[in-house]
Amino acid sequence: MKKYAKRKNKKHYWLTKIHRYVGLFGFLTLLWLAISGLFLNHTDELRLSQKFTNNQLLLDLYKVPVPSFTQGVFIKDQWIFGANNHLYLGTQKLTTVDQLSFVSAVLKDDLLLIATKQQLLIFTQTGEFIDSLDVNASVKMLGISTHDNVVLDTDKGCKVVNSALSGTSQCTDKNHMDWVQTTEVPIQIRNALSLVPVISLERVFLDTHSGRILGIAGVYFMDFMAILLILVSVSGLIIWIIRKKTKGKKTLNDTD
Amino acid sequence: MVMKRNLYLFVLLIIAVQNVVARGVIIEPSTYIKTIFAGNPPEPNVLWLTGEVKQGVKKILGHKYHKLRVKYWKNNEKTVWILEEIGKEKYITTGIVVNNNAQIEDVSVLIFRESRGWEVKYDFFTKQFDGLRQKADTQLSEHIDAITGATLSVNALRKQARMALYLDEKIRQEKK
Repeated sequence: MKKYAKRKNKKHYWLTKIHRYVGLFGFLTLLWLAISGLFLNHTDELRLSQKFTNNQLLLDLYKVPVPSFTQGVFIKDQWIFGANNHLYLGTQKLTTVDQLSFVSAVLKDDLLLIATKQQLLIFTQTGEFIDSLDVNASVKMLGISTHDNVVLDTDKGCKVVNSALSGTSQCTDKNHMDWVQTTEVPIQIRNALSLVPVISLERVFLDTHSGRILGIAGVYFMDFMAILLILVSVSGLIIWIIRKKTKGKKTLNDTD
Repeated sequence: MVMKRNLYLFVLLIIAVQNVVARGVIIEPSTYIKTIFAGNPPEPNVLWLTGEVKQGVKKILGHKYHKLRVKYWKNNEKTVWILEEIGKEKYITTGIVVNNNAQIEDVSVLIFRESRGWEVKYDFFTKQFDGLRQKADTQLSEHIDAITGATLSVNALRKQARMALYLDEKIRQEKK
């Protein structure tokens, strides 16, 4: 009888140990599954499908090539920028000419002037192509001079564009110019153009919940964790039953 | 057998090299302008394609010109136009010189971006335009022979020549 109780206690001991360590090991995963599960249950209310990530680590995990053309100029409620060797005015693609590398843009006398590395392109405000001006140098910056002329900073020095926007001449002083500064184009704009594949937060939660974000290894890891959680649940139940039985016997013995 | 295979490979290599060499800048537009005006080019003028002129150009090309204005260089003897038109998929940049008698003096392909039809850049083809005028219906006064395999590029150059003569006529009318 004693032998049987000892064996039972040993079994109980191992079961408790397994339960404890597996529980500790699976704790973080369980926590994440619970949190991501909560978010997934309320994707509509939280609008997770309409929110996008720009986290570099996540984009790397999804193997999204983040383009290096994120610089643009914001003029009259519209972003002007270059992407994939094309020029954009908001979401409208400008010109059919390709291989254009955007440098900067400025609005002058109701005309939209866009400097590429090789040319100055002239557009109407609605994006209609007017003309191009060959600069014969590599353009670095675009700006406006103190005399209100369009100026270009190039590898062959500063060039001033004539008032008819049909030719250039060398500047006398490069220092007193108002150079246009470019800023980063918001990811929403690039997403709207499908320049960056859209990764919604809903997809991120779903893929981290299932482990798919780490590929097939992630899925197997989640399977493994699921088996462990089953083990924890079953071991916990068995431990509870054993303890309850032991407690019942103890109470009976005590009353005896 | 090996000889035959090597011959095929050689022919393919020649075609590939020819295609690569045939594309690109043949003469820089700025160099062309300088050459035509013997190193002393005038300041460029611009002609806005609006109203009747816009419609006239549209009729010649069969579509709207991709720019709203065209640059030209003019002295007392001639006018030089640098025009662009799509052959099959990409623009062909061409320089066209029109003399005071409203006759074409020179047609030169300056930038050829297409992968086929590059034969139009050669003198044997462009010489056909020399001395041509504009007829009343804006057609060229003489027929231009086509080149097998370069039909679209030939058509593009024909249209560019017609457009240059048409625009030249317009600036003459403006002057009067």
